[in-house]
Amino acid sequence: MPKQELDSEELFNLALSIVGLVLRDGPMQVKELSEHFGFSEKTIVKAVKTIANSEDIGRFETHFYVDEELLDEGEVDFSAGRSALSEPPVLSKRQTTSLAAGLDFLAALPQFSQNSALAQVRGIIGSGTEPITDLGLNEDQQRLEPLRSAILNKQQIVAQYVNQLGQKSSRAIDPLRIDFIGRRHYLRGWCHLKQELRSFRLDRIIDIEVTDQEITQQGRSASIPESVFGALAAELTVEITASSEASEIFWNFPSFDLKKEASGSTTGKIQVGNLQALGRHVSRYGGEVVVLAPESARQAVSEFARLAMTGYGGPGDED
Amino acid sequence: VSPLKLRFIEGQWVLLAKQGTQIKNFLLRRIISKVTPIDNASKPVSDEEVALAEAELADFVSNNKAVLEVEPDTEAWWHFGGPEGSQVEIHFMDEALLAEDLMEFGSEVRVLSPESLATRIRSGLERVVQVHA
Repeated sequence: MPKQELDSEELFNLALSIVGLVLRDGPMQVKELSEHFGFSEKTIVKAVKTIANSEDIGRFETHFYVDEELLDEGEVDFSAGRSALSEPPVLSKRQTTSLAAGLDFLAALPQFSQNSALAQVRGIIGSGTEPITDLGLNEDQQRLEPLRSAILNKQQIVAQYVNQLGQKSSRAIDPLRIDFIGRRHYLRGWCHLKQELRSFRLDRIIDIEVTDQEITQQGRSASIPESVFGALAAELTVEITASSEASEIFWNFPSFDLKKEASGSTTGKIQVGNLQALGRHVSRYGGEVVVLAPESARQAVSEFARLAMTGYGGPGDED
Repeated sequence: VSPLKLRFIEGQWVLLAKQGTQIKNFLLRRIISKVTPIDNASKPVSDEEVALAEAELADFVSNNKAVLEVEPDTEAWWHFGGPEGSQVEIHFMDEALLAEDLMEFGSEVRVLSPESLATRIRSGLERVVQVHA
């Protein structure tokens, strides 16, 4: 039975969700939206009309216009307005809090600490002048500074990089972007050695030299895919299950078919480039992550852990 | 709790918050339920109290010391700065989280001390073997 009653804030949030979905996927039937969000068709229509009729939004030049004729026929479509907003829209408490938290994070970054525009926005939103987020200055932060400078100035770098097998190499890289995924920073850049766009874990870069050479044309024209993980040469699909505390393992691989179980654990499939790396990633969770299939992957993880146990008088020491 | 500050320490988000009369540190990854804001106004906490709590955490970390043996020319060796010998001394905030980080290095690292950390790693690895038997 679809949920029926919404308070004004929930209705507003539903309206925004509908706008996002329709702008992304194109016009949709009211019936489809009802099934998608789990609300009655009447509630969907009411939420869509909120976009056009909301007293709050109506005070400003809304960016989304509802096609009311289509809506009468059971279809939802919007057009995006081109006029600039002259004043900020009214936000719910939750939206304001989310924005404040994001802006606070920005303010904690060294490169934004003195940014007057950011300070002004934080003032408008009602944040204090001092960030409540403290990012500290760890080794990653020390590597980030020269990288940021090189990216902004379009300068090549030479990095000493250690891959997950412990192999060290010197890489000339056109640095393009830094991503923060899960708990790790990744440098996205054009690798001169591999002649392709690669992702480099920042904690595996042991030395960075910023050169005075400009980045190459290949680097300039490279398109950075959204996923930090590129296509793997010989990838293997592995099915795993992870407890709620270990579910971050899915951040480390391209993953799909994720399903949250009633117990809180997550089951899904990941693509791995080599089984040795899988052993490392799985073993760190001390049994909270279990490889379900294939058998070769289960064995690889078991072998990795057995070998590691030799240092602690484990079964590997036995004859 | 009354949340005061979010800190990012050694790859971990830590919430500094007042619980009752005490200011405590909570690892965000250990907060596994949905967080619900409540209407009660938080009690004011002075800058001095926050600074003291932060200093206590720093003291706690500096007193938590582990001695490791790392295999030269491996990822672990590079990770710990390529030490002259094979031994490194590190400070840590949370033994369980350090154990996770060290288990990822597998046989490249062996914990010489403290014994509790070595035991924790051994138990974790045993469990990995057990669930993949």
